[in-house]
Amino acid sequence: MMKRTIDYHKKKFIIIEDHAEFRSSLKQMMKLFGANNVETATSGDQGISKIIAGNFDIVLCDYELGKGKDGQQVLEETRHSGLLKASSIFVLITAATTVEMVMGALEYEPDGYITKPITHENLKSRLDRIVRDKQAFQEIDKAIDSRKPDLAVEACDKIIAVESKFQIKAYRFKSKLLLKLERYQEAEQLFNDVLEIRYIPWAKLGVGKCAFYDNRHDEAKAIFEELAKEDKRNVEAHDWLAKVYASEQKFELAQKSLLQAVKQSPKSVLRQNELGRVSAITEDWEAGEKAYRKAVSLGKDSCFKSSGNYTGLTKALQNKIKNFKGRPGRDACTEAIRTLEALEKDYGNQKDIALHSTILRGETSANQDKQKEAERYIKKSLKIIEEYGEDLPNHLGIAMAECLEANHQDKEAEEYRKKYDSSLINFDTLNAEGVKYFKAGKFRDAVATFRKATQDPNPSISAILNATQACIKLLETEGPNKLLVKDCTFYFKKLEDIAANDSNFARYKKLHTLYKKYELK
Amino acid sequence: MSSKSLDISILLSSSIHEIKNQINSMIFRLELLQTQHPDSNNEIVFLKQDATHIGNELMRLLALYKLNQKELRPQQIQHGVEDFLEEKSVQHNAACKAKKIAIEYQCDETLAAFFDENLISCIVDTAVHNSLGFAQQHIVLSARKENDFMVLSVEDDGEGYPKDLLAQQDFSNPLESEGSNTGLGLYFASEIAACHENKGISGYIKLGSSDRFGGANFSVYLP
Repeated sequence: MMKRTIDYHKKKFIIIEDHAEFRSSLKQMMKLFGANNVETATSGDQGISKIIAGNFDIVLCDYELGKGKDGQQVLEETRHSGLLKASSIFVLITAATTVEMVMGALEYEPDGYITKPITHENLKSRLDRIVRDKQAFQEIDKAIDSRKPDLAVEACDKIIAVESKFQIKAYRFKSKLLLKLERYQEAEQLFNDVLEIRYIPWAKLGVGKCAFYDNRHDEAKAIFEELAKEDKRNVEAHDWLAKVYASEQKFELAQKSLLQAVKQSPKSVLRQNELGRVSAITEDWEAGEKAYRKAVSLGKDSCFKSSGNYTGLTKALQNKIKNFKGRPGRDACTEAIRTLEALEKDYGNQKDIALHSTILRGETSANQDKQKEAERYIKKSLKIIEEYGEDLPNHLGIAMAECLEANHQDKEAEEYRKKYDSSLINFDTLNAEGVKYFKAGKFRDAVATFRKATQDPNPSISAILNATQACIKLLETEGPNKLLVKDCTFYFKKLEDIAANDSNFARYKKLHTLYKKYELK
Repeated sequence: MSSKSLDISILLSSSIHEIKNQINSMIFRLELLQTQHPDSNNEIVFLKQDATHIGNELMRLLALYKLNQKELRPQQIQHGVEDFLEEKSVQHNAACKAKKIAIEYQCDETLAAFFDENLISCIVDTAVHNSLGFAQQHIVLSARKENDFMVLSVEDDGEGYPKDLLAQQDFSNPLESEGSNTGLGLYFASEIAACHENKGISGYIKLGSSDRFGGANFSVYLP
């Protein structure tokens, strides 16, 4: 069969490479086969901003980019936030010796790898191959780009039906779609089908995920444990093990698994954040401090940046501020203040976060025994809290209680303790509970449970959508209710920034249309 | 003084990374030199081939070390075998041409198999490198399905393997074999093949003589 030649002159490229000589030579080399439209970037951050502005067909990104983001992180950000169309190609350039660090059980995979040393022979033949392979998946990519995940699933099926080198890749693609669409039963069947063909770790991991979603925790744990034992570098196995333990409130074990995962792969903001969260629950402040600090610094200029890391770090530092006299205590204090300043600078216009920061300033002062200063912040906080009335988010109520306790105002703290529930720390469990109520037709209970679940400072999109759906269902079954509409409005406000290529987008649209009916009335 | 003993594995692997990077940039410079002087003689091609070979040997060293530590896990991913062979033949084409040897590949275009591309690539490169030393005019890369295995072969029209080596087919003692480092290469190849596993079946290598040329036939069996 004649292979069609690829018109590289029609394609728009970007090379992300920190090494100047390599960058310009690569560009030269590409000219030899007609790629004239080539931009370059010298760092991951620069690459990402160019990608946002650019609309590129092909991204060539070195895995090792010196300081700052590595190639895998650039890939994650561009794919996670939909900066790059699904139909665009992302190629990771790796040294053969580092390839195994990169490959494997990762959520985001590039469309292909080019291994160094790069010569013009292998560059062209490898690019040809990657472009042709991508063409085999174009129907899927188109469906994803036009936000039709169901069509994408069907397109996967077409590839799976024919024996080819794309079969397993199509299975994997489909499995990711099914999990996003929460079609867990089908996903589990698929993973088992793949395991029939061949033992592949991600398929086994998939069975574990599905078991977890189906509340078969012991089975899930056994699978993740086996995978982690089989290959300690299987980061996702550790992550999932932690997830199961956390959902069972076994936070010490969750922390242990996360520490393993972080050891293998320390650069993920989300993982460091989770480690910080779990360490705070077990009151392992040393570990919490380390994890949140890492999350803050990794999250700079990243789409995974989140205010929770700043507040988490400040909170974790309180132990040192209070109990370590001399240098360590002073240093912790300086860091806490600096962290809050950064938080206020970037998020100060958000009411919840501004309040949280003020409360933490109060706690920091109180732990330094600066009572007067603490009282000033507490006064300021209480004034804002008044404006909230009954709507104060749970985590802020608890933060206030902790601040008052630090300032020895036990009586006032007690009031907050009574009203706000510190056991609401496991939002995943709450979400799962809400789903159970919903499925059982107990919409009232579902609404109440989801309301708690969305108290999560960083709720997942699907959790918010669940909450919205329950409210709308209750509106449908019990008729108009102002409070429920108000809830919906609140939830949709949280969803304002949902990305158009988010797998939840279709669901969001559907619910939003339903909500419109009630909003107008 | 630190009382901790140096972690030899970290030392080893980071030095290898370092040297490998150096070699990569060396190959890259040679590459540029070649494009700037397209009419230059074959010296650049040979230099490039040698440097690539050193890079491969380093990869092998690192993999062998990990193997010894039981830390080597091949990434068995599904690949189109024709793509793989095409890439290999393109890669070695210049060096073959310089020696007036034709390199070809033969494979069913639908053939797909699971293997670690880098590791198997390393084996095939070494085999081609060896063949280049013996071949008269031809090197053929081929792949086919055989029962539970996908068989990758490198054949040449040289004088073939020594008889005792063919008779033994034992690659377990790399250090006992005499002369060059063929023993190490074969040991590596057989170990790498063996860590490719599927449903309890492991891969292996086989030395034979080429049916079409009568020269050497090096085959990797992957489950």
